[in-house]
Amino acid sequence: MSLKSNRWLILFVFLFLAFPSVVMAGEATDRIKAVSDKIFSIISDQTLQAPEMKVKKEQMIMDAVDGAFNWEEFSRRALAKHWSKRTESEKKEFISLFKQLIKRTYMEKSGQYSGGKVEFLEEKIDGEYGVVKSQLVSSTGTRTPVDYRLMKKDGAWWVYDVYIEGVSLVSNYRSQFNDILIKSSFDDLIKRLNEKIQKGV
Amino acid sequence: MKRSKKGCREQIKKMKKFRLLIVFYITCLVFCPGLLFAESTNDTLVRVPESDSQIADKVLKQASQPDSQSVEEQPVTPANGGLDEFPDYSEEDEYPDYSESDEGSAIISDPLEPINRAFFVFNDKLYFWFLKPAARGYSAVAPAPVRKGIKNFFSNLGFPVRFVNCLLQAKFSAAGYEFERFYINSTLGLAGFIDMADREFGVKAVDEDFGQTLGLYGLGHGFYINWPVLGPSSALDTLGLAGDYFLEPAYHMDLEFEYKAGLKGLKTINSTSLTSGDYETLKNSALDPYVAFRDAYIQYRQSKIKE
Repeated sequence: MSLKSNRWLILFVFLFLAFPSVVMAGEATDRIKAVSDKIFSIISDQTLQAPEMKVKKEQMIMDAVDGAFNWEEFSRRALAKHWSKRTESEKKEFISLFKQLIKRTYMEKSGQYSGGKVEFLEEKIDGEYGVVKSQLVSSTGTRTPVDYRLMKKDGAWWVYDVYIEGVSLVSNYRSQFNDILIKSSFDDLIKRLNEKIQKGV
Repeated sequence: MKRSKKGCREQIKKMKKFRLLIVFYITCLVFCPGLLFAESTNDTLVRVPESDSQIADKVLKQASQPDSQSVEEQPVTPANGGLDEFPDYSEEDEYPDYSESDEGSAIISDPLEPINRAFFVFNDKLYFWFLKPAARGYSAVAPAPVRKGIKNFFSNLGFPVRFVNCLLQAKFSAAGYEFERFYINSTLGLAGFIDMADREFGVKAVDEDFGQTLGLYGLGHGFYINWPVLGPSSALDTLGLAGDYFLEPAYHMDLEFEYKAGLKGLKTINSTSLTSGDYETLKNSALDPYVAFRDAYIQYRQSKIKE
């Protein structure tokens, strides 16, 4: 018995020493957690519920998301091979439009918020890259796995992709953008992005 | 005299309570053999994440068996196990130069695209004109806990598909979890309506089907098929669906077609009522909804095979 428990102890010591990032919630998780806490506090803030506060509320959520999402990296990965063919100004325009498109979706989702919570499951770090696995538990108990992909840049962790139920947001857009770019042109893609954003939800 | 009457009434009351239990028990007994052949649920089930404690457990089991092995060597095992869970890292690393994205991100060929697009429009209309209003009306009648219960019930019926496919994929611990879940939920969970295994014992559902088994065996998705009514699928998953059909309880039950269709309909409307909004979100966020759904479907299935 004592031998066995000793083994447990030794093994645990080894596990903790060998995998500090796996066992403890790391800074990448903290980064996501800070953003999600902020968003939750904004949506549940009673003073922001009034219709005239809608714009301010959305702006606050956007700022919170901006604090941890690297939109350039999102855009670069979504355009993939088409990225390098674009001029600097085209890239800038695209980043801004793509960001608005994703935010629009997030905003719509946060508008439908009806209770629920985020559970952080684990964090894996491999050099400059990291994964934070979490799940969204709705008020009815439905769990949706949400994984954040992060990269370290200038000492901070930045989200560059989100996987919802195993589906990468960036890859999903990449396949759409690619389809449009192959069949049509970059100008057409910009036009369609603009239309989509103008149309609203 | 009065006292004995009271006693009688109490006894009858007790019997009534008991009778309810007996009815449930008989239901369980009747259902169980039939359930050995059941149907797969494509509901979103969360897999059991292999937590560190589980990894530790495995290591400990290994450590406790061959005594000659030194303890210091053991932590190496979870290290590899841990790294294996990084399936996307290699892909991620390739990304900066986008070498693989040359054939576009179409991870699946789509020779039937014109037909598929037509059926996409058809299914979209079907959803907005029939399924969504039906689910809305249904939610108005059935409160969320009831719908959750019905979802659990159908999910429990999917046990044979998941169990057999776990075995076919040599995922024996997952098969064990599934068996445990089925056993607990069919009895304590009152024929599957309550997910007691998850709620009380923390045994979470695994999601396996024949399409995933074939995928794990190395079969590719082939090409994309957007079936009318059934929706996104691939050549592989269509084959998988056909295979799983023989494990469905409905297949083995001597039911009229209308009843089978009714059950399927209830299941579909029930799960739609619980996931309302998901379809709209993906559709609204997409520049080309057809491509978005095709990509999401394939990515989702790939991630399931990898699990």
